[in-house]
Amino acid sequence: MSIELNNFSVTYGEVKAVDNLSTVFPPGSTGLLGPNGAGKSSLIKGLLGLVPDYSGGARILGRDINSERKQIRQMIGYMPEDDCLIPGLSGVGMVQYAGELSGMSAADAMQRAHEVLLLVGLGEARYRKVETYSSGMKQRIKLAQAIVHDPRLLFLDEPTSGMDPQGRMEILQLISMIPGRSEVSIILATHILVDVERTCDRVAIMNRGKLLKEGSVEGIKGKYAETYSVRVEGNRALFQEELRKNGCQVAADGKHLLDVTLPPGADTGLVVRTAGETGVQLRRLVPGVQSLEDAFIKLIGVDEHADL
Amino acid sequence: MPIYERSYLSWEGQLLDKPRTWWIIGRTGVRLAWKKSVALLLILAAVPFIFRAGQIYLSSRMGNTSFLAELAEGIQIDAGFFMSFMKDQTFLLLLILIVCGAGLIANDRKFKALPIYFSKPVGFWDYLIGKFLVIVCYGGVITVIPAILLFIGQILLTGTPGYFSRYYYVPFSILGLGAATLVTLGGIMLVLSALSRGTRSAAIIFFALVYIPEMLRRIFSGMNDWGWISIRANILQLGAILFGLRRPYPFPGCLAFLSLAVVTAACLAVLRHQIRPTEVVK
Ligand SMILES: Nc1ncnc2c1ncn2[C@@H]1O[C@H](COP(=O)(O)OP(=O)(O)OP(=O)(O)O)[C@@H](O)[C@H]1O
Ligand SMILES: [Mg+2]
Repeated sequence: MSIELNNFSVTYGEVKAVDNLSTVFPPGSTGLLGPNGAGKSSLIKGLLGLVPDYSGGARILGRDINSERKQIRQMIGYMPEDDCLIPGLSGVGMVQYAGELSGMSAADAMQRAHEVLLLVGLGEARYRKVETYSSGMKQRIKLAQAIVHDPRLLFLDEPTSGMDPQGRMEILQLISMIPGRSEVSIILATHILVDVERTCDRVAIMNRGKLLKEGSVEGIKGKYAETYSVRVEGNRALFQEELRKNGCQVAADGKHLLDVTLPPGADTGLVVRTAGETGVQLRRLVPGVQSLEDAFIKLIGVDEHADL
Repeated sequence: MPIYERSYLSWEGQLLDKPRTWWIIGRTGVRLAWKKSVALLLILAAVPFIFRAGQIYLSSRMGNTSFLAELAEGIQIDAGFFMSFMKDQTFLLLLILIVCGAGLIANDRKFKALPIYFSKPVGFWDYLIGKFLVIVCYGGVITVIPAILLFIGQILLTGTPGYFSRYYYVPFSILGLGAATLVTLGGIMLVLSALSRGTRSAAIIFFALVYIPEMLRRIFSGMNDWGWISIRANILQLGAILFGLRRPYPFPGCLAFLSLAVVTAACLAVLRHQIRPTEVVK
């Protein structure tokens, strides 16, 4: 298990940013998804001991976050969400420094700093002072300092914020490549769903300090897939009208296909029955391709309602 | 800026079990704090050193020629000689602490470096000791190190075991006074660095903290024993005790020590509060 949480909370004065979480993140890449203020960053900072006030227990890579903090910090890499830099140093200087602080020898850290800077696309800018970097370059150097010592677990907080589309693609590609090459687990906090879909196999959805849902990306998408792609032969117009009467939303998708969204509580039986009643032949009935976004919005929506 | 057609490679090396992060922070800090103004101050600080070295040389050659003997007359190379050298360096020490120290924590806070430091195996004490090493390095190089060199020069030039057996304690006194000075003044400088964002305001407050109580002490000392409110007076009082000299102020020596200890403890408390990767915004 890469992370185990046990009644873990993070508070800032009155604000409870992470509210009594108990869960387990298995190895692999997990997207921590939630709207602004959900508590994603606070959860990560709390686990690393970067916030003044947290309670409950947690283990990272099998080690206790209270008693083995330095060992944990050696095994992880953290890319903070703010523009964090070590002033006065060049790109290589900063990444080498980060490597040495993690326990690499000066020579190893230097060599590896060059490697990871090339990898994140800062090859040409690596001798410039980090203060002069643009936001996209700051993102890249933050990623480089997090991976320089080859950590076993990477915490990436909004890794693509402030990047141009091309840069975003590159960073996402790089992130999705990391776990495959070595046994690195990733926790990726973001509110951008596509980023999670592209890079993670699991997703944990957070809102208001609580975990709403977690599971494989496919599983969560599937669970909320109430839209179906339907094809019929026969009186299509009648079939459509009948479906609408039964509470479905129907949209014609091209010449033959219909996108049918079922009313809450209904299942595919409704479509089959309607087809029988209207005398059309059902040729196709498959879950519609649905993005994580839909699942996400549904979940958050449910949560907002629950609060009213 | 293309990401090169390379893939992420794991690193096969072995991480040190317990990296001495305070040393790495200190070493890098010393390198980053080096600037032209530091070099200038070091050159200025060399002047009194060369002057004192000359005095030591002359006094060791006293009697050889009448001209030198005249020049060296009245120079006593005793414990007080080394103490007054350290005392004379104080002003330059304050300047160098400002030049090297004001940015130490201020810059890290400005560029939000603390979350990066504290996501590595760096603890509060590693960070603080690392930053303090910078102060020890540049402060020591104009106080403790030249004082020790002068002492060694004196031993070598007199060549008599008598001198050493009489003043064997002087190197320890130098170290003790240097430590007390650097811990208190360095502590105050680090606090100002952690609280402020500009070098200039830090410099002004630093001088004010050192000299305003000293002025108050001079005003009030006629009526009362207020010497211990002045950091400078406390350091001199402590120095006199360490060097076995007559105490310059009437208040007890333990009060000087206590007063400096309280200042240091207060500095630590503030630093503990300020050096945090995440501030809670109310
Ligand atoms: N330093 C702080 N001081 C006080 N409250 C804070 C602080 N940082 C975060 N909070 C509060 O904690 C809650 C969670 O914030 P957090 O930054 O963890 O959210 P997030 O999920 O990372 O959001 P985002 O997507 O905007 O980064 C919010 O209500 C926020 O106002
Ligand atoms: Mg955040």
